[in-house]
Amino acid sequence: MSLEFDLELPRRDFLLKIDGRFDGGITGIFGHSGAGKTSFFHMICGLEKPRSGTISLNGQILTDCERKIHIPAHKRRMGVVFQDKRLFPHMTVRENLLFGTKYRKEQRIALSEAVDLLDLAPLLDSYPRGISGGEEQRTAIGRALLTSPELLLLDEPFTGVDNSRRITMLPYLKRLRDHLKIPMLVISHDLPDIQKLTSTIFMMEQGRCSGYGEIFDLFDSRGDILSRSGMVNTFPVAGAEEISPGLYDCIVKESPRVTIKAPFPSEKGSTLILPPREISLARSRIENITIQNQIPGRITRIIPVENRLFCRIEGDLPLTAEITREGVQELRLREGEEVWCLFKAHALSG
Amino acid sequence: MNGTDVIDTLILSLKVGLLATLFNLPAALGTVYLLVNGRFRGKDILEGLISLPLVMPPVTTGYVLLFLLGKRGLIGSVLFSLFGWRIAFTTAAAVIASMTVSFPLIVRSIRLSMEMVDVRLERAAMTLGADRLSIFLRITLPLILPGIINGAVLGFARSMGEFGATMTFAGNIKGATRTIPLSVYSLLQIPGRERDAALLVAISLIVSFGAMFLSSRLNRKSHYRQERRHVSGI
Repeated sequence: MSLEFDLELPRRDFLLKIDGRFDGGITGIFGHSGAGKTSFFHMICGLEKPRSGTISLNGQILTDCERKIHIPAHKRRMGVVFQDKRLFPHMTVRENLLFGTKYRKEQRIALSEAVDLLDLAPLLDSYPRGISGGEEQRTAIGRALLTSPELLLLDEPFTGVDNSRRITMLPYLKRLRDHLKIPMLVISHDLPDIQKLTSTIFMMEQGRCSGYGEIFDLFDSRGDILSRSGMVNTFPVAGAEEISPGLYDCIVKESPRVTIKAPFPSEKGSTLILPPREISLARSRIENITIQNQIPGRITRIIPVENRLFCRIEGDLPLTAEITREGVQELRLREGEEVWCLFKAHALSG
Repeated sequence: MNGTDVIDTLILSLKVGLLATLFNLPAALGTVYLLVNGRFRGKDILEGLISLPLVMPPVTTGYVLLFLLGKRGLIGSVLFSLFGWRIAFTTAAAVIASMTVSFPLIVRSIRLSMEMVDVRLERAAMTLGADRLSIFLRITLPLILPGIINGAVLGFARSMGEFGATMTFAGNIKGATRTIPLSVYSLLQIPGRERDAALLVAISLIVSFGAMFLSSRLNRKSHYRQERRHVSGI
């Protein structure tokens, strides 16, 4: 999959002007509300026309303002999951799911497969008004999936009425990521939510792209915004082993030499989350301490954000730690120096 | 007035009412689609023209119909000379008179429900691959069904009660245009026939009530009544 775009659209208070290219996998589109994320989505799926620019998917031109090409939304192969779900109230969940299937010649995903992946079986004969917000969301995702899209667009899939729903949506999105390998663009204003799904971030501010790439590569230039937005450390897990009752050694995917001790088992493919403020820095390894994780590295960058400092530490395991100014002064930490990163097993979440 | 007369009058009334409603529905649906989705010059004028029979005295509506479709009327004279068709003072005229006065009611009812259909649902359908026609048939039409049923019932009831325009344009011809209201009027002109009139009034009451009852039943059955409760309240 490759989606290329170069777009311009005047908004009420700014000019949306972005260009870029997405290649497969999951890209998180991150920005505060009003940054133009949803307009960008609408242009990609054909519901809104840009003032000028082009969009192409896998080499096929979808929009080219100069040549007056605008493939209408119903002929684009995009699966769209709107923030407000938009299930058809007069149809059962099953009818909603099957709505788009008659417009596609090939079926890449069968109804039963989507139903299994999204746990929709008990809902099939219910009407949308009788199901919960999370169930509506899953139905909307299934409905989009069954049109066999080249690309799935999800607008704020984590935003819901309560926090418990956030937790319930994530495993389903991970299943889509791991089982179907369907390319996804996920809009969210919540950086940690995006990070639980992907580390590839497309940052939007005031209608412009302010950074695009792996989140830790963006840290040098956009560290201030990322830290302010609640960026977390994420470690994809390659495997785990119980070393003592209630304590597990987790192997981190991209750093096989490092193991992290966590108080819960993690499956392959899951992600460990560690907020930067849970990390303490020390000049040397500390013996006789209950803290389970001590990982060495080198400070590559120190970024001040308000009255805090964010240290980027490279080593076997790249980390971002949040330290008070006093802490940095006392230890006289500078960029380029070796440190040990300490964090408790209980500071991790799954 | 004997039993067969009563039944004939009732059948004629029902025929006129049903035919008027049947012809009006697709026309009203098309008109509403244009008014809600279309952007064209003269939209306001079209809206005004459609609503006109609501505020005009029915007798004047009948006069306008006569002026247009009468044997010497603007269109009527052409139809007569080309095909030998006579419209005024026939059952067809009664149907046309009923259609004219009930059309704005049906349009209003359908329009209210169509304006309440969430365009976001239609956009979602578009991203799922549906073209305009599919969206109309699979999303819009089922969602406005309560409005259509309401419009049909209102229009039918209005047709059943039509008097002024029918009298002027279709006349008061026994067996052809003398529907229940005209019959009641005629009977009241004759001393001693009040009881016959009362019988027709009772029948008319039953038919009207039955139609209203049926409409609220059908509305209750629809799955999305909650979202459009205030439409069914018109």
